[in-house]
Order: sequence, then structure tokens, then C-alpha cells
Amino acid sequence: MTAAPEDEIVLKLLHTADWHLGRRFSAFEDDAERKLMRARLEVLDRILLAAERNGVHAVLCAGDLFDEPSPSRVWWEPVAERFKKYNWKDRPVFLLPGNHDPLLQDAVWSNTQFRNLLPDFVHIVDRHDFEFTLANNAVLYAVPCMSKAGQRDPTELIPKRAPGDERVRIGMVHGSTFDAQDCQTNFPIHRDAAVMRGLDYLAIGDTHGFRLVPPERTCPPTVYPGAPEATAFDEKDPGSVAVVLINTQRRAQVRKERVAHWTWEELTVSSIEDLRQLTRRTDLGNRVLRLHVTACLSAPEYDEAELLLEELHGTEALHGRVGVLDLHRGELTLDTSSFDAYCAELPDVLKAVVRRLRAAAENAEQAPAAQRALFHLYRTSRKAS
Amino acid sequence: MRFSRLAVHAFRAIQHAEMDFGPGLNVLYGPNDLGKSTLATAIRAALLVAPGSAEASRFAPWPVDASPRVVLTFIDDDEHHWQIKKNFGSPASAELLHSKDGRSFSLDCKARQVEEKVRQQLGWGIPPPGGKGGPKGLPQSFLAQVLLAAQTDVDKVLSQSLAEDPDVSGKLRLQKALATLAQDPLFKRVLDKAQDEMDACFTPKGQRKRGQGSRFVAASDSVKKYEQELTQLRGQLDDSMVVEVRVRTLREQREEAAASLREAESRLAASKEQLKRTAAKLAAGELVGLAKAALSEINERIARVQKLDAELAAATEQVARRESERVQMLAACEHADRAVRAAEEAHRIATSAEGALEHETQRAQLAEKLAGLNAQRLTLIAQQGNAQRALDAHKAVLAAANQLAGAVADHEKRKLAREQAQKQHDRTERELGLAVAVLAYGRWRSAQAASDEATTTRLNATKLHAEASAHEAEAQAFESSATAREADIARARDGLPSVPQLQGLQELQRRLELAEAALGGGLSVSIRPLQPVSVRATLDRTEVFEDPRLATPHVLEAQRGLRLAIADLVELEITAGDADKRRAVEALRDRWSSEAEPVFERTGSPSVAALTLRLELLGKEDEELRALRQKAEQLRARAKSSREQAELHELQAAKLECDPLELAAKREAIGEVDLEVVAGRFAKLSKAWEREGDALCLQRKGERDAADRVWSESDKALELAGYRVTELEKTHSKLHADAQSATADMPGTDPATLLLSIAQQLSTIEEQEREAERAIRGLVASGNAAATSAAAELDKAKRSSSEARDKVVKLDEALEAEKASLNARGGQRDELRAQVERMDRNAASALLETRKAALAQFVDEPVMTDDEVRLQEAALAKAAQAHQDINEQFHQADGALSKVAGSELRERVRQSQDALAAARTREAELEVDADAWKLLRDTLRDV
Repeated sequence: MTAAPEDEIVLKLLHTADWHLGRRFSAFEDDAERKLMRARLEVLDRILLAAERNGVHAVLCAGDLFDEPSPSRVWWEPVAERFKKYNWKDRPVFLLPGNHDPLLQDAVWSNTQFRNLLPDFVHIVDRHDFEFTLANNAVLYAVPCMSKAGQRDPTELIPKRAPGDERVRIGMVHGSTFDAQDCQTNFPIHRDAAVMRGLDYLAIGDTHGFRLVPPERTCPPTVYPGAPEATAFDEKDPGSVAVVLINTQRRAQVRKERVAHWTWEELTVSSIEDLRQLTRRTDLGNRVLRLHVTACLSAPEYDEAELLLEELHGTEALHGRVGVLDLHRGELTLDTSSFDAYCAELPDVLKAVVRRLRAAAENAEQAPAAQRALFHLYRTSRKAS
Repeated sequence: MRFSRLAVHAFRAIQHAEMDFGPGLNVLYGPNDLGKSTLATAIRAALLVAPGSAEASRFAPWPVDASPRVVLTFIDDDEHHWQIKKNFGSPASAELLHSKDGRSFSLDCKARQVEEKVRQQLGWGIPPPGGKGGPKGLPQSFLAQVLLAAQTDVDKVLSQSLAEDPDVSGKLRLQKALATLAQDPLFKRVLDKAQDEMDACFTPKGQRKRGQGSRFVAASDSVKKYEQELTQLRGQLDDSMVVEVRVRTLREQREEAAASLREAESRLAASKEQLKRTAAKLAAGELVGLAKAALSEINERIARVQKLDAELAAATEQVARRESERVQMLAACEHADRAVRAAEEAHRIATSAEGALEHETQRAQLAEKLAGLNAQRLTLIAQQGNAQRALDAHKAVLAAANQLAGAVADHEKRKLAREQAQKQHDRTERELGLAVAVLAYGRWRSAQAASDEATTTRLNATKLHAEASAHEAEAQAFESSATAREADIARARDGLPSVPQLQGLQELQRRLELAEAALGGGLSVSIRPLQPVSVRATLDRTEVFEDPRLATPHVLEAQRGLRLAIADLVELEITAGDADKRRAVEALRDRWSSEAEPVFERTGSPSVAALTLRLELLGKEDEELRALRQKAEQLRARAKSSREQAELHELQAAKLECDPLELAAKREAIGEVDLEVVAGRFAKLSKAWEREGDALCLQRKGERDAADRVWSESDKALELAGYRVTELEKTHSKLHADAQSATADMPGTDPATLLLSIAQQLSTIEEQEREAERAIRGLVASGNAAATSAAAELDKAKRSSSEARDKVVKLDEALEAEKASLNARGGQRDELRAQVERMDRNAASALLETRKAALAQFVDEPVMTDDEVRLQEAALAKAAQAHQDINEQFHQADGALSKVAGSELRERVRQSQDALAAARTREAELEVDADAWKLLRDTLRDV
């Protein structure tokens, strides 16, 4: 998309969604889970900085900002504190309740403590007919989610463009577009909602990857900016916000800007060399790495693999090379057939032990424990000698 | 060394027991008197007790008479497998077998060597049996006591000392083990590490630690937590999905109801539209009626014009006749005048000769002048009539010329319209021909395809027939083979016992074996040959000992009986057991001899098992025979099925087959058209080409017929216009000829000017006549006195003249009246004609045709009634109600949907599943690692 000359831009917006503050990552170890949970809050700083750097006229936060309707204070208080650090006069911020944090009676949006903490330029979309005049006579229409599920298209509540209305019209809703699974009961959004409602840009939230919907239409754009920090390995293109530039002809241009700290990656290594190469990588510090080890290694290689995995994962005393490692080592096996070569110098009694453990490793049921026992014997005897 | 398997049979209270040992510690547990101690004793017996020793007699089973046997399998430090087999009954025996893989064992040694080798391997401080200093009874040593003491011998364990060992091997073994620990720090470190890890994970009893801070508990709790969470979430998700499914279903139903509603609305609108069209049809009918009425009125007026024309023609003739009569009457009048003048002359002569002469001369001159004037006047009147007729004729010629020009223009217009109609007709004719050709092409193609398919189907039928024949031949072959095998089986079965008989023999054999087993007590016969002799013995009727030159002493041992033949000198049969049991055996043996052995002899089978085997083989043969027949049946069924299919194919082919002549006719039906064009048109048709082709033909035919009608109508209209032109031309020519003839004798060519001139001349002549008459009357008045006798004649002549004049006057009056009438009718006719011309019959006809055409559009139009529209309205109301009902349900479901979590819940379930999988993996890894340390520790200790 070619950028319009700066003097033709009448409205700049930053569009973000799906912060999911308070989201648990129970599949990870405790330390890793804490890192990932905190990251969801830390990315807010980079989002607000991006808004300031781009000099946007408004910040649109399109729903699912909290992972549940009533998060604890430890989540909403830092949000308010972060906003308070900025003294924006002409840059309103709009917070939209989504299906994870709908506008229920006891939701965070109704919490007066939270609301009182928010500075004046932050507006909560807490009614269906929310309308706000932005810079250069542009207008924002936003519709919040009032429940966790619903079959009504929220854009139907946005008034259509009246004849002669030449203002820039922006819409903001949260829901599933026509091509999403379960869209019928998760606030379905019509594929031509932006056209039908006479909007120049429709900001939506729900899907965690950056997407234009439908992808072939760029004018007027309907955009999912995705989660600013990913929440799962199978998400496509998360970690960004959308910077939207609208020119005098009311044509919107969308630029994706990355704000995430973490990059989620899934990798399989099937040899010790693969593992060595992985360890040599310099970009692992901000990686959430799901590592599948599928290799049958000799005892020294197995020992080295254990050390390398330890280096990647970290110990109680040392940080790991990988930011967050989700290790799947179920298919890492010890090649017992060549074990004799590594125990030539062992005393006879330990050789007899090795013979027995190898015999046990032949039994499929005992194999995992027997292989591991052989490895322990190998490592312990090496260390001792 | 570690034990891997123990099998015990008839050992003290145990009839039979088997068990496999795992690596490490094995614990036997169970209630009292189950035999745990006996199993321990059996292990001790297998390892330490010689079968023939006095100690062995303690192992005899007490409820039954059987030989105690123990089989113990163990694995040595080199992973070699050993099996000790000991029979502590009679005959006592011991064997040691060896295997490298634990599956196939081979005999290593027997009898006493077994004890020697086992004790050597044990290294428990027990010397080999026998010999000087060898142990008597149960061997004792420190390790034997410590490791295999009876549960009641705790004190003995504590009091036992290595110093009391009869052999140093135990001491050496312990010294070696202790040396291993003491002298090999690596071993010790590995063991210590394994033990530390074990201590961290397991209790002293080998159970996983489940106390506070246990890693197992944390992992297990985590798994349980996520399992509970997942169960709860799945329950919620199920509820949510029920609502979501209901919403989706209701949404679909609502869309269907909306579609039904739209359809009902559409039907109602269509009905209303149809109602309007019905009204339009009626209105068009009325308009046609009005146009017909207008046309008939025009026709009527034309008829009236024509009638008036005829009347005018008759009246004109009548006027002409009247004028002729008037002329005659004028002539009579002139004659009467001449008579009057003669009478007057006579009267004058009678009254005065000279005066009379004078008067007469004057009067004669005047009368002559008057007669000349009269003649001039008559001539002028005649000329006036001719001029008037010429003027009328000219007017008529002009009118006819105008009409002719109009008719010619109309004719040209009709001609152009006819050409266009003809072109349209030709075009529609061509399109119709093409549509017919496309349809014929389709039919030809279809017939061609059917013909091809018929050929293929017939080929298939032939193949199926061939297949059926092959199946039948194969079935016949199977049947023949089955018959042959049946005969073989019958021959093989000949003489064999039936199944009940065989069962009887089996029962008899079982009972005999039981009875013989009951004889068991053991027999031992010592043979001490005094010189080499042939000895043959049968032990327990099975085992055979044979030595053709037995020279050394030999002991024969049997359980139940022994038959001994020494050379050919003597045969001894010795039977164990008490008398009753022996008699029972004898009875059973007699039965065996009488019942079983004849069967064996007859069938050549050596045993019941062989008979059973033969019968089983025959049974299998029977089964195979049945299978063979079944196969033959299946083949026949398949052949039948193939034939039926072939017949079906043939029927199908017959149906599909197309007569070549018919096919050629279908090809010809396409006609001489470009096949590519036709094929191209045909390709545009869908699968329902015939229906579409028919419809297209009908449509083209309709268009052609419509064009035909238009052409025909334009042809008629052209013909009519031509006829009109011809008629008008004739009329114009006639009128022109009339006008020319009317003006032929006229001075000058302008009748109007002539008429004016004649009128002026008539006026002058009438003045001159009046003067002449006045002069005559003067002359008459002067001669009255002279005329007396002639007066009567004169009066008479005058009366005649007067009568003649009266008649002329009357004729004039009548003529005037008739002329007036003629003029009036002419005016009426002209007015009617003008009206007819203004009414434009052609336009009225065209209007009628147009309206008929408009009405023709409604010919196939179905008639819609108000009742039908009301029915549609009722259907619409019903659909609207259904839509409203489903809408209400949908809104209710929508309300329920807002209370569930939907996709958000699915996301949480997915997270919970991931967490549970991770927790399970962590738990499994912990367990494997702990098990690994335990296995290592156990193996180290074991070794």
C-alpha cells in the first residue's frame, strides 16, 4: 500500500485489541507462566509509546482487554497507572468490552475504583449508542459486548451513513467475522459490514493474529490487529498493532507495527547436531520455544543433549538461553546397543549392572526406566571418575 | 544370581504352583496356610537338597500319592539362565539345564553333579554332597541360614556363624562383596547416588513418597487439579453447546420461515398481479367489442353512403326525366302559344283588317322575337345544366384524385410493412428450422449414443454369459471333485468308530489311566545278571528298557507296573498297588482288550489318539468337502447372477438399440444445415435438452406463426390497399371521363365562369321576353274590340296555353322539389361520406386488430379470482405467524445464549487440556526418572 502524503492525512489511529490481561499459561512451568503473564502488561507500554511516536489522533482498544470480566486489582490497577503516565489532551483512548470481558453488572468496567483511576482521555465504551467526535470532524461509533456469547451482529447497531454526510466514520466492535469457526454465536460480523454501514474503517477484535477481513478488500478496511503478545503457538501473525492513516478522500491505509517482546516458535530437533545448532542461535532470549526432541542418541550424545537442554532451559542458578522453553522430550531415547563401548573401563560389577540394565531395556515396558538408569549410571560414573 | 521362575508340583500341601520373579525385592504375601513357607522350602529344596536324601522324604504330599517336583530357574551374574529340575519322589532325579536366552534349555548335568554345580555357583559355604566330610541331611552354612532360614529360625539366624561353615566359599563370597564395596569407590559412589535419589523419591519400603513436599504429590495434585477443572469446563461447554446448537437450529428455522414468508408474499403478489392481468384481459375484451362496434358503425355508414349514392343516381335520373318532360311541356306550351297567337291573329283579323294587320305584323314580329328569346333561354338552361354537371364532375374528379393519392400512399406503406413482415417471417422460419434441426440433432445424437450404449451393453451381456459359463464349468469341476472326495472320505471312514464310540473309547482310556495311576506306589527291581543276558523291560506300560547283553547290575524303577522278559526264558509281570485297585485295572484292561484293541486292529490305528486324529482329519475333510460344495454353489449362484445380469443387459440393449433406418431418418431429420452450427447450439443446451429444444421449437414456431400472421395480415392489407387504389383509379378515370365529356361541348373550359355567363344571359333574355310580352299584350288590348268570334277560340287557345304553362310550372315545381330533394340527399350523402372518411375505417380495422392482438396476449393467461387471492392472503398470514413464532423462540434462545460462554469457554477448555497434558507429561517424566534410579539401585544391590 502506498503511503499518502502527510498533508493529505486527516486522521491517524492506533488500533489494538485482545490484551487478555490475567490470562493463565498453565501448560508452562510456574516461572515461565509468570513471565508470559507479566509480558501481557508490559506490552502496554510499547503500545502507548507507538501511539505517541506515530502521533495518532486516537487509540482504539477493540475488546478482550482482560481475560475475564472481573480480573483482580493486580491487573486493572497497572493499566490505569500506565495511562496516567501520559497527559494526552487530544488523543482519546477508547476501551471496548469484548466477549472475554463483557459489560456485565459486576465487570471491571463497572468498578468505580478502576474508572476513577482512569485519566479523562480514557473512555470506556459502556453503551450501545456510543458516539464520539474525533479530530477533523471524524466520528467514532463503538458497540460493546454485553455477554460472553451472542448471535447478533454488533455492527447492526451502528447508524448507516446519512446522505450528504461526508465525515470520516470509524466503527469499533468485537466479534467473529463470517469466516471464523463458531461465528454464528460469537457476535457474528458481516463481511460487508463496513460498506453497509458507510464506515471508512472498521476496527474489530477477537482473533489473535493480524488480519484484513476479507483479505482481498483494502477499502474500506476491516482489521483484526491481533493480540499484542501471542497466547498460543498456533496463532498466525500475532504481536502487532494497526496504525491507520485516513486521507482527505477518506481512504484508509493500514500499517502493521510490531510491539511484542515474545516470539512463539515450535521446533523439532532430531539429532545432536540440530540441538547444537539451536544452542548456537542468538535470538532465543525472546523466544517462547516449544521444542520436540526426537532422537536416538549414544550415551555421550545423550549426556551432551541433557547438558544442552539444561543450558537452553536454565537451572535454579542460571538463566536458560531460551526465554521460555516448553520441552517435549518423550521421543529422546538412549541407544543402548553401543553402550558397551563406553563402559570398558568400568569395574566388573558395574559392567554386570550395565548388562542387566541393557537386558531390561529390551523389554518395552521397562525400556524408559532402564534407559534412563543406564544414563544415570553413565553420567554418575563419568563424574565420579 | 537372581531367581526368575519357580514351579512346584505335589510338594507338601501344594498340588501345583508357578510364579515369576521380578528384578529386585519380591514379596510373597497372603493369609496363613496358603503355602508361602512351603514355597520358600521348595526353593531351599531345589538349591540345597539332593533328591535321594532323607531330607527329601519330608516333601511328600500328604493328601495324594504323588512325587514332589520342583523346577527353579535363575539367572547368574553373566546373564545366563539355569534351570534346576528335581523330583523328590520315586524315582528321584535331578537335572540342571542351561540356556543363554531363557527360552531353549539344554541339559548340563544330572544327579549328583547337579548338587555340586549349584553349590559351586551359590558359594554359600556348602561343600558338594557325599564324600568325606560331606553334609548329611539339610546342608547348613551362614549364608544358607541367613538367606533361606525358615521363619521360625530367627534365633538360628542370629546365632549362626561363618566359622561354622563346612566350606570356605561363603566366607570368600562375603569377603569379595565387601571388598567390592570397600575397594571400588566408583561402585560405591554410583550406589550412594542411586540410594540418595531413591531416598528422595521412595519410602524405605519402596513406596513412592506421598508426604508433604513430595514431587510426586505435587505432580499428581497438578494432574488432578486440571482433570477436575477440565471436567467442570467440559460440563459447562456441553451446556453451552446445547444452547449454541439450539440457536443455530433456530436461526436456520427462522431463515426457512422467512423464506416461506417471502415466498408466500411473492405468491400473493403474483396472484394480485395475475388478478390485475385478468382484469386487463377483460378490459381488452371490452375494447375489442368497442372497436368492433365502431367498425360496424363505419361499415353501416358506408352502406348508407352507398345506398344514398344509389338513391341519388335514381333521383338524378328522375330529375333528368322531369327536365325532359318539362322540355316537352315547354314545347307543348310553345305550341299552345302559337295556337293562342293564331287565335289572336284570327281575332285581330276578325276585329280590324289594317289595324289588325298592323297589329298582327307587330305581334308576329314580337311573337317571333319572343319565340327566339325562348329558344335562346332553353338553350341556355340546357347549357346551364350541362355546366353544372361539368362543375360537379370536376369536383368529383378532384375528390377522387385526392382519395387516390391517399390510397396510393397507404398502399406504399402497406407494401413496406408487408416486406418487413415477410423478412421477419423468413427470419423466424430460419430460426424455427434451426431449432427443429437442433432438436433433431439432439435426438439423432441421443439415438446414436443409445445405439453405442446398446452395443456396449450387448458386449457386456456376452462377457457376462461367458463369465457365467466359466463359473458353471468351475462349479461342475468343484462338484466332481467333491463327489470324488466324498467317495474317498466314505472309504476312509469305513470301519472307523463313530464319534460316540470314540468318546466311549476315550472315556475307557481315561478311566484305565486313572486306575493305573491309582496303582502308583513305586516298584524297584534290581537285576544282577550272572552272565550277560538279554533283558527287555516295559515300565508302567510305556517306558521300555532293553539291553541285549546286560552284564552289570541294573535297577528298574516304575510307578505302577513292570513287565520284564529275560532272554526268552522267562517273562515277569509285576503290578503295584492293592488288590482291589489291581482288579479294577484288570477289569478295565479286559474291557480295553475287548473293546479298544479290535478297533485298533480293524482300523490299523495304534491308539485312541491316532483314531481321534484320523476322525478329526476326516472331520476336516468333511468340512473341506462342504466348503467345496458351498464354493460350487456360490459359483453356480454367481453364474446365475451373471446370466440374470446378462439378460438384463440384453433387455437394456434391446431397449436402447436403434434401427439404423430410424437412425438415418433421424440424421436426415436434421436437414441440410451446417452441423457445426447445430452442434454449437446444441452444446448450449443443458441436460434437459429435449425439453428445452421442444420449448425452443414451440417458441420459434410461435414466433414464426406470429410473423406468419403479421405477414398474412400485411398481405391482406396490401391487397386491400391495392384494390382500393384500383377502385379509386377506376372511379377517378370514370369521373375524369365524365368531366371531360361534360365539358366537351362547352365553350371554354371553366364551368363556373360559364355558369355565371349563362346566368347573366338568361337574365337578359328574360327581360327581353318580358318586354316582348308587354308589347304583345299592348297589341292584344288594341285589337280586342275587333275580335269577337275569334275570342272564344282565343280563350280556348289561351286556356290551353295557360294549362300548358300551369303544367310547366307544376313540372318546374316538381323539378325544383326533386332537385331540392336531390341536393338534400347529396348533402346528406356528402356529409355521411365526410364522416366516414373522418372515421377512417382502416384505422378502425387496424385498431380492432391491435386490440385483438392485445387480447391474444391473454389467451393462455390463467384466470385469477378474488377467492384464490384470499387463499394466498391466508397462506401469507399463516407463514407470517410461523415466522413470528420461530422468531420468539429464537429470541428466547438468544437470551439463553447470552448466559453461556461460547467460544470463550472453548478457548478455556483448550487451555485446560494443554495444561493437563503438560502436567501428565511432567508426572510421567518424574515417575520414569524415579523408577530409573530405583532400578539402578536395585540392580547395583542385586549384582
